[in-house]
Amino acid sequence: MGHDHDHDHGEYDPHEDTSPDDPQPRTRAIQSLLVEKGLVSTEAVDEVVRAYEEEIGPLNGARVVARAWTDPAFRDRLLDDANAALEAFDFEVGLQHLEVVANTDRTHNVVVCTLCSCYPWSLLGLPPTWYKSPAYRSRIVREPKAVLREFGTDLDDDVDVEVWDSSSEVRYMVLPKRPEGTEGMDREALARLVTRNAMVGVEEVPSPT
Amino acid sequence: MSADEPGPGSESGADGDDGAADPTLEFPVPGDDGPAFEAPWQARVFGLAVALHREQALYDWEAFQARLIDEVDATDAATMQAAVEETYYEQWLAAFERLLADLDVVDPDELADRAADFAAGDRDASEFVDGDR
Repeated sequence: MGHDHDHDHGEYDPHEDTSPDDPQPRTRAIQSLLVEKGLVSTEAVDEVVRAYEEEIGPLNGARVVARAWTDPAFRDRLLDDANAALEAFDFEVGLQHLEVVANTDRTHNVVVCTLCSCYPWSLLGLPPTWYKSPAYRSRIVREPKAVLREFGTDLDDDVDVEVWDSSSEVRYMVLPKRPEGTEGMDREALARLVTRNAMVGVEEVPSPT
Repeated sequence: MSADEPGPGSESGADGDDGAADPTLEFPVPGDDGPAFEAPWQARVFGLAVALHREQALYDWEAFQARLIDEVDATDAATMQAAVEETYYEQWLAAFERLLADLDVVDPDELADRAADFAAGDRDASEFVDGDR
C-alpha cells in the first residue's frame, strides 16, 4: 500500500489529506469526474450511503428467520431457493445469489469470506469490522470452535461446525436455531431476538428467559 | 445437504483446532459496532462503486469483486489487522480505480490531475456536497 501514516486515526481530520495520493482527494476526484461525465449523480451516491447508514440492516434477516421459525413451508423454500423465497419480503434482495444454511442440534454453521468481505448486505446490512479482519478470515477456517468461544459460543463436542466461504457467486446467511422459551411469541417479537451475529453464525440466539 | 456431505462452500473445521492462536493476528474483541463508515471518504468510495454499478450497469459486481480480492491479496495481513476499516476501504478505492481504468471510464492521468486539484484546494467538496465530505 505504501501509505506512511504516523498520526492517530482515531479522529478524522478533514485537513489532514493534502497529498494527491491520499484517499480523500482521490475519492473526490472520482466523484467529480463521474458526475461531470454524466455517469452518476451525487444524489445516487448519497442515497446509497443513506440506505446503508439508516435503513438496510439485520432486521431484514431477523424477519426472515422469524418467519422460518414459524412457517415450516417457508423454511423449506428458504433453504431450497433463498432468492425465490425472499421475494415475499418487501426489502430489495439484490442480484447476488443467496444461500441460507440451517443450524441443527448436530451442525452449527458459520460464514466467512476468506478472500475479501462478501456478505449478504441486503439481509444484514454492512459487515462488522471483525468480519473483514484478517484474523477472522483466517482463524475461523483454521480453528472455528476457538473463534466461536471468543464470541461466547461454546458448542458441545458432538456438534460439527461447517464453515461457509462466501464469494461473488454465493453469499451465505445462517438460520440459527430457535431458542427455548419462545413458544407463542409472534414474529415481530421473535425477530427482535435474532442478532446479526447469530445470522453470521458466531453466536446463537439467546433464550429470552 | 446433510452434515456428512459438505456443500460447495463449506469446510468442516470442527476437528481442526490446535488451540494455538496466531499471536500476530489476535482477534479483535467483539463489541459494539462502530459507525457504518469511519470517514467521509470511505462512505464516498462505497457509494460511488455501488451507485455506478446500479446506474449504468457498466460492470457486474464480480468485476469489482475480483479486483478487490487482488488488492486484499496484495496487502500484508498484519498491516490490515492494525487498521481494518481504513485498509479495507483503501483496497476498495484501489480496486475501483483499476476497474474504472480497465473499462476506459476514467483515465488514470485524468484522475491523478483531478486528485491533485482537490489536494491543492483548487477544488473542494462543495461542488457536490453541502459541508465538508
